[in-house]
Order: sequence, then structure tokens, then C-alpha cells
Amino acid sequence: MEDDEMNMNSFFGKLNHPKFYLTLFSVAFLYVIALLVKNPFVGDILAMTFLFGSLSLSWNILGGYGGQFSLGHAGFFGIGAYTSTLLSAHYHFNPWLGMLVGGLLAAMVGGLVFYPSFKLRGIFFCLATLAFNEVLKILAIHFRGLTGGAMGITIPFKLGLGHMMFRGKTWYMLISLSFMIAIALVTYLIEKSRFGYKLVALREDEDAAETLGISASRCKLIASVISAFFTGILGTFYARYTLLIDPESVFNVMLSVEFALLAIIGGIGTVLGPTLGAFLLIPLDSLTRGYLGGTQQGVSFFVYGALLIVVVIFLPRGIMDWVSKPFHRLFERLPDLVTKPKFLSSTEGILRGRELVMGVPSAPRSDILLKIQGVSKSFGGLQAIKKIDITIRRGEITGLIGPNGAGKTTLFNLITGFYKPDEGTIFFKDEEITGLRPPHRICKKGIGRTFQIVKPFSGLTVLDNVMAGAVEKSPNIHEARGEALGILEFVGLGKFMNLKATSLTLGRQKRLEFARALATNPVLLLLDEVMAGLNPKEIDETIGLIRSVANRGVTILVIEHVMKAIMSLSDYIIVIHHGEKIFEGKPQEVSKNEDVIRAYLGKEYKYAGR
Amino acid sequence: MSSGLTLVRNINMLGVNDIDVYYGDIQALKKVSLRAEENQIISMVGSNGAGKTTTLMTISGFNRTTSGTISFDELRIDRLGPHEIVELGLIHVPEGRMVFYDMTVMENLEMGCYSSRARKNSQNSLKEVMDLFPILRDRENQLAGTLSGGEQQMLAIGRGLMAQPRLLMLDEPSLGLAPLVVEMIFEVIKTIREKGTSILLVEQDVFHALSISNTAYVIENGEIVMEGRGEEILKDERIKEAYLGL
Repeated sequence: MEDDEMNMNSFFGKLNHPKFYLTLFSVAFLYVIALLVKNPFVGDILAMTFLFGSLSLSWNILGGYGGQFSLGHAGFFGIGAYTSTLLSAHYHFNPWLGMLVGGLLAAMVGGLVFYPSFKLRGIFFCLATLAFNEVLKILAIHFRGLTGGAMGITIPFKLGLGHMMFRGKTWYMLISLSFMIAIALVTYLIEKSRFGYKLVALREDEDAAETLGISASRCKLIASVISAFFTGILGTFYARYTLLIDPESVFNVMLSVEFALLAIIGGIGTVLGPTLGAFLLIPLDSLTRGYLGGTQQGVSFFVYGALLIVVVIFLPRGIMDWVSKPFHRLFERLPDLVTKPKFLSSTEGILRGRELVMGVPSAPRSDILLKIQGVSKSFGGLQAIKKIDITIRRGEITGLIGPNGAGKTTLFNLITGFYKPDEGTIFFKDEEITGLRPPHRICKKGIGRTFQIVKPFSGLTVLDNVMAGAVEKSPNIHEARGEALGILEFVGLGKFMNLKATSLTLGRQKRLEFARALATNPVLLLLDEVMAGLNPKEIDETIGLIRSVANRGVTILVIEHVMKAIMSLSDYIIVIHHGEKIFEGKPQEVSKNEDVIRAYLGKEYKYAGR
Repeated sequence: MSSGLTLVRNINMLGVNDIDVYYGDIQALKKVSLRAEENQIISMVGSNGAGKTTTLMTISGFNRTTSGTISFDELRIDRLGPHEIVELGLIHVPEGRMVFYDMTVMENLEMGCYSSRARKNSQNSLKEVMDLFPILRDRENQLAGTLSGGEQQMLAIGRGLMAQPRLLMLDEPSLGLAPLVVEMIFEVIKTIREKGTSILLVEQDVFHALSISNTAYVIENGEIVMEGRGEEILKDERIKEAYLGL
């Protein structure tokens, strides 16, 4: 195992991997093509392909990786185009400088406008961004004095690199290609970074990501700023290329749709996908229009649309999904001049990961870790929690039991920042955390949790799921990966690490949640029915696992219906019923209490305890 | 009913014969065979990932077999779609309840008798379900998503019964339920059998499941490794060791 894990694989070491030299070869190939093509029609198609590839890549950073489906990116494109054009028209700004200013302005607007929209999820975010796009277009038409209104602005032709204007298409191709490669590189770096992991995790499940300490709003903000910046920059290029900008061409909503469409067709949330989408659709669009547009008005749209439908039907998950398997087979066949690192992970990380499960026993302490006083919570007319008092001592395992619907999970949600209590206080380590939200702030305080209804990051592998728990506090990605490996090995999910999380059985998904929460290195761990779906033997294993984590000094609050587990694990048991605490005490006392037997255990309890 | 049905000779109500099922390159079931007869509880036990849920999903038409056959009432069903299998009276109550959260309890139950076969008798079925789970009558107009876990499980079983099953497949009905409710669910399972419906039960509460089963199958890594009467298997030393942790 140790041999596979390359600790500090240098950048140059990686060059020997087929993935890298093939990429370099393809890039060189594209530059050669750009230099050789002299036909202006073909040159125009290529320049547009590279431009739209770049635009779609920029959209993909927020839309693909962050899962925030923006239909307003033409807004940033237009801001970039107008900014540099106006700056050079009125203040004789160099367009390269104007390009930068336009990008920065787009980034700023992106941050300011999208930040409040992140509260909206799914289709509503989409609509908000669409509105943003339309508003910008109307503003550009309205402020005629500044923007030239619906007529737009004509850009005087001045030859030269400084003016970003050239004879022929060669330079335009080279510049747009360079942008495309640069943005693809940034995307790749994001994908491999801690930030990239966080972004993907919150795309897959925002609630689960928050409980791992990942700030959803912060990550989305950064992604939208980067995404808007590049889109704004490309606006300038477009303006210099077409020499005419007007609201209808640069603020067009159909452009926003196209950025998204190319990424979806190519493969959303991948480095290469948007480029592949552009390589397929942009030439197709230009060619159908070029050959059919003149004689048969509208036929080009028909052909383009029909091909689009074919692609969507046969490649529903994008071209990337279709080509990635043969590519990987090719990579395996090509020579790799050094070792083949499967993944990079640091040994310290692995040791730390193991430590999280099987660490050194810590000296017992018995101060109060969590104190809940008089907390109530109602939903509409239903009072789910009624003036509850709970005290959790450090280093203990506390069992929380009660009938289904008693309010146990609600209590977890109140502690972890999903709900705000109507009244009462919650103290953690002598610090008040009542109503502290959003959940990532609770995680940062040292409280981890699992969910009763599992929330795996379904598109990610088992390993990546656990890594998402470790990235927030790890100094780098290798260490996070190491920790995840260390944990997986001990919780018995090691052999499934490369499978998609959703392909696991429910019982194993519960264990994955446990592993993921553990990766945040919590002081207090809240486990919500992690043993459901396990057979008695597997329950015994899980009991052992929880004990070993507790031995390290982690305080555990566990909701469970498997009485055998609760009885043998808990130092102390709290029983709630209809949102009220009806009993608390040692395990032996609980099973004899008449109230508990009536409300929860049933007369047959001795039977269930087997 | 579909014309694709072919007759096979089989005296059992359900006959699963040597089926293989793959998920991509991974073989999930290897030559699995099961039988279920009238008025019986048949249970399947095994570790996580052994193939229990896969077996049920395959019987109800969600997975395709690469070899072997499945028959129900002498009809071959392994090439039928889930909705056609439901029409035959072979009903699956999936793991994790899967009630329709944004529909009321009554609407959920009504969806259960969607098949033309069950619709005719819907009033009778409804009465039977309500008698079995009186709490559902009180909750009739409540959204299913607001029910407690136990009530949702009752609703899921109730919805299955609305389809007038001849064979009811229950995937982990006790999952996440309080001990008191678990007792009740097992009592209900016995009642359902007494009323003439057979049950194929997948359950992690091995002790409980085996003690009410007529026949039980033990599945490991996609293969049936043992079959016998419920009580016999419960006494088997290997089973005690491997699944009961005794």
C-alpha cells in the first residue's frame, strides 16, 4: 500500500504520466492548427470555438462545479465588453488594461448580485440570474448617452497588438486559444484543490457539506467571482473582434443559455467537457448557417436543433461521460515513465486518520460539555420540543431514545444550527451557541453529526465523501486524502473507496456518514441511527467502533432504536416522548422504568433485547 | 396484460431459478434460487451488501437477469416491467418506506390500488388496511411527510396491501423503528399471512424474522448458502456466530 502512495510527487514527475504528455501534445497541436489556418471562414469558426469554449469553461466553474445554474452570465460578458470599449473610447484606455478592469468589474458585480441570490436554490436561483441578465440589457438600452442605446457602439479599427486588432484571423485564434487553455488550467487547479472539493461537496448536498464545516455561501461567492471575472475578460476580446457591440448581441439571454448548453453537452463539472461541447457545436452552428443560411432561411436552425436532440438522447451525461472510459484505457496502455501514482496522499495524513478512530485513550474528564436549558421548538401548531433540559458530560456516551416522532432528530437539528430554538439556551464548552447558524459554524466549534436519512455526496466516490469531511481543516489535499484513507481502513469501507457512494447498501452508507463526520475531528459527535440496516453481528462491530472513538475522548450522543446497542454503549440514557424528557438515568434503570416501557420499549422488551 | 407472457411449469407461487444479476462488471447475484408458496412467510437474511435488496428489486422487475428465470403463478415474469408485475399481485414495499411525502395518507393509499386489478376492490382493501392500522384513519388527511417513522412504515405497508397482493415483499420493515413499533409490525406481518397473503421478508432483525418464518434463506456475497425452516436456521451454530453475534 505504501508504495502506491506517492508522497511528494514533483510536478516534473507528473509530466511522465500519459495524461500530461497527451494534454501537452493536444495543446501544441491546436497552436499549430491556429498558425496554419489561413482561410478566413475556417479561422473565424476556430476563433469562435475557442472563445465559446473559454466562456463555457468560465460558466462551468460556478454552474458545473458549484452546481449554481446561472442563466445570467451574458451579463458579465456584456459588462466586460462595454467597460473596455467605453474606457478606450472616452479615456483612450489600452484595451488590455480595459479588459482587466472589465473583468474586475464583472467579478464585483457577480459577487454583489449573486451573493444574496445564493439563498435561492435550484430553479429559483436560475430565474434570479436570468432577471439580472435582462435588467442589464434594459439598462444598456436605456442609458443612451453612455452606451449608445440599442444602436450600440462601433469600435474604430486600429491595427496592432496594443489595440488587440489584427489583419487576418491568426492572432485572434492564438489569443482565444490561450484564454481557453488558461481557464482550463485554472479549472483543473480548482478541481484538485481543497476549494474544489468543498465546491463539489456542497453541489452534491448543501446540508451535509455545511455540517462538515464548509461554508456554502463563501464557496459559492468565490466561485461566482472567478467565473464572472473570466466571462468579463472575454467580453473585451469579443468587442475587439467584432468591432461592434450592442445590448442585443452582448447581453443576449441566448448567450447565457449557450454557455450553459455547451458545458452540459460536453460534460458538466469536468475540465474538458465545456471545450468538447464547443468543439462540437460551434463549428456545427457556423457551418449549418454558412451553407444553409443563405438559400434556405431557417433550415440551419432545424439541422442544428436536430443534431442537438440526437446528442442529448444518445449522450445524456455529456460527451465526457462517453469518451472518458476509452481515454482511461488508452492512458493505461501508453508508457508511463515513472511509477503510476493512483492518488496522492500523505503518510502523516493516514496516521492522523487512523488516530481519529483508534487514537490513544485520553484521561477521563467529567466536566459538562453540552448544556441545553429550557429549549423549545414549534413547527406551525405542532410543538416538537417542549422546554427540554439536557446535560452531556465530556467523554461519555449518552443514548437518546424515544418513540418515532418524539423529537430526537429535531433536537439534533437544534444543536447543529439547522433550526433556531424558540426559547432556551444551548451552551457548548461554556460558550453559548443558541441559534448559531449556518451549520458550518457549529462544525467549526467541534460538533459533528450524521443524518438519519443519509445524505451522501452521491456523485462522489466513497473516498471523496470522507475527504470532503477532512478538507476544511487539513493544510492540504494530500493530507485530507491520507486522513480519509486512514479512517476508511478502520471503519471497514476501505475496499469500497473507489465506488460511488450511492452504490453502497443503506447500512454502509450510514457507516460512511459516520466516517465523514469523524473526519472533521469533532469534540462532540452526534450519531443519528447509524446502526439501522445492520444485522446483529454488524451492530456489534459498530459498537466496537463507536467505543474506540469514545476512548479517544470524543463525547458521543447517539440516537438509536437498537436497544442492545444503546444498553451496552451508553453511560447514560435520556428518554424523550412528545418532545419532553420523560426519564434519564443509567441503562439498568431505564429498562425497568414503567413510563419508558409504556411509551417506548413495550412489554415484550426482554425479547427485543436479545 | 402483456402478450410477452410465457407459461412455465412450476408448482410454486414464486419461483426464482438460478438467476445471475450484474451491476456493470460486478456480479451481484450468483445462481440465486428461491421458492415461495401460498400462506407462508419466507425470509432472507445476510450481511450488508449480500444481495437481499438486489434480489427483491430483480423479482419486481427493476433489475434484469443475465441468466435464470423468475416465475409467478406459472407465468414467467423476468422480462416484464415493474408495473406489469404489480398487475399480477406481486407487490414490493421498498426499503426506507418511500411514501409520497407531499401527498396525504389517503392519497398514498389510493395510489396503492392504481392497478386495474386492485381498483375494483379498493373500498374493501381500504377498510382492511384501516382496521389493521387504525392510526392511519386518524391521520387520513395529513401529509405523509409529516408522519413519524413508524407511521410512515405502516403507511408503506398499507399502500402495499391496497394493491391486493398475493405475495407481499417487505424490505426491512423494522428499519429505524422504536422497539414497541417493531413488535407491532411483526404482529401485523403474521396477521397478513393469516389473511392469506404470502410474505417475502428481508430483515436485519434476524432473530425476529427467523422466529416467524416458515422458510428462510441465508445469502452471502450474492449466493444462497443455506436454506431451511426458520427455527432450524435460528438454532444453527454458524448463523448464531455470523449474524446474531451470540
